Amino acid sequence: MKQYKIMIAGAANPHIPQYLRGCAPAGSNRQLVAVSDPDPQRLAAARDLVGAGADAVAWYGDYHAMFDAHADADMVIIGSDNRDHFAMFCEAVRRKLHIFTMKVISMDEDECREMLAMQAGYDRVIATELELHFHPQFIQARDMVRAGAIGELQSVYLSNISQSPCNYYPNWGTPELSYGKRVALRPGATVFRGGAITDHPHPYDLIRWITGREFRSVKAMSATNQRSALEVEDHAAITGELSGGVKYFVNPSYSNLEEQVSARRLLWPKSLECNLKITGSKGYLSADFFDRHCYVVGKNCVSPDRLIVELAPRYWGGADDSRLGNFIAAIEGRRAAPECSLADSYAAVRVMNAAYESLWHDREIILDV
Amino acid sequence: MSAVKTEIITPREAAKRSDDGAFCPAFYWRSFPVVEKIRDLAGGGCCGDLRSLRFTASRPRKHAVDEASFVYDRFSAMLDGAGFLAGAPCRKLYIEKCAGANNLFALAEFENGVVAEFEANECLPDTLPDIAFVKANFSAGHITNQPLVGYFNEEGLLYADDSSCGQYIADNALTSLAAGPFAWMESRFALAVERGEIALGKLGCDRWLSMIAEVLS
Repeated sequence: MKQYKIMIAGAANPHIPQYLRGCAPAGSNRQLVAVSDPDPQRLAAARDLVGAGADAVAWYGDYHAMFDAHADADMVIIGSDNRDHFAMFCEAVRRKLHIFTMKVISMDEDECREMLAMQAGYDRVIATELELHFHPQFIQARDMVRAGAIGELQSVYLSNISQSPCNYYPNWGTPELSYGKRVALRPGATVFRGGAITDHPHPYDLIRWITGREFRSVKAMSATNQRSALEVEDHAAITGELSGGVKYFVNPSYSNLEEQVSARRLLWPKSLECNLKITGSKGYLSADFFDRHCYVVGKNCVSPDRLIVELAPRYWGGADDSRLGNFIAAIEGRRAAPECSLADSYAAVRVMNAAYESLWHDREIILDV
Repeated sequence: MSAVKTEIITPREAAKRSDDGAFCPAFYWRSFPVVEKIRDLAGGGCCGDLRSLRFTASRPRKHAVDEASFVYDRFSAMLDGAGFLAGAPCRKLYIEKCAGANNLFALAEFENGVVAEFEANECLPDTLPDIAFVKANFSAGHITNQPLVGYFNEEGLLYADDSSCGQYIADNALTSLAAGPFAWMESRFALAVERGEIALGKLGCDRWLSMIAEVLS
């Protein structure tokens, strides 16, 4: 069985801890060989997350040096700040690596189109992390919509509300790092693009994936920030129309508060709401991210002495059905393509930027077909 | 107690009135206890400053009124509820209404920077109950009656049509939707056994059965 050597380039993304802990489970055909991050503190934290196996992993402050030292590696997980995704992607393509990149691929649409152009003819696999494709309730929703159980679609509602990661990933609150540049939310505003809208591509991706429809119009509003110290927006609400006249509503906000400490601790008891509601001529469907949940209170819990909502354990399907398993399956030809593509991410980025434009111009934005 | 009984009329009727009679529009969201609670606590500074509001009003088709009444009477009452909490004039309003159906989404921005979002419909299958939620997000807290999870809080995946309303659970390794928590447990147990995750043997069942028999004898 082929053994895949994995590098992680950048530990700036809040999802990277999941891969540091779990990208190469015991007995799998994957091995984490190297991790890079330019921030020594973040690199040390990444090393702690890997734990007992950390000595078997090489640690670098520069991803070029890591790529040079591991010419035999098969793939890279790109986990840097959004701003640096493009440069890392180009370097990974130059070195013929399989690429698994955190979302968003870039908020710069020119860069997104360049990445798509590079992908054409590239003989390695490229995937993006749009992880909600793997949750059974959303898979079921998609199947039911596609099978006609809802009938003719009338409206889709999807919230993607979380706490802000900016306390424990302070880089996430820096506009240049998350959005790629400093752009005021509105003319003269002291809040900048790069917050909740940039961090939440799932609603646009899931709505497209579940309904098969494209976004046609975008009207957005953003409230005064709940967190006065935050430079990026922490609230947005968006409505408009999909192809075929279906109405949608999306809330991609950081409007669930966290404790004001440098660790990840919830104040609102639920870390994430992804509440999907679909109305149609035949029926109605609703599902939430925490569709099978437990309430936990514990003095040594991640949010000590506070009731929080956690996911109940779930069964996964086969090995090919996990995020990285699916990626490997595409590499090995068991799938024609990975579940989540660059094109999926780019489609979401277009709607997200349209939401920013709607806020800037204070009007509806029509998306080109 | 006033000698003249105040007449509660529709917002459309009230807007047309030019007299100074004893009337008021049916802006009943002001009296929704959750709205009252938000207003009370907000006034005392319990949660800091109000930033955003989420209003949800989902109703089955059997409670539907005509489209004009839905939009101009019922939805305007929701807007008033938001304005009542925001405490500032509305600066901008977006509405996306489904053609030919009492189903809309809306956004309202108030002059003090508060934004309210609205999900209003009365087009759901008649097997579903009414739900009315408000969530108020503040600079230092939240007030809401919204369930922590989902539509009813516990259901998993909800599918309803005019003949039934079912609460299902999807699990990637199961071949079909589980029709509730017990079917889910049984299916997962069967799968765990198949995967060798459950120890073979009595699992202490003889002890449990004898204890039950002893207690009941």
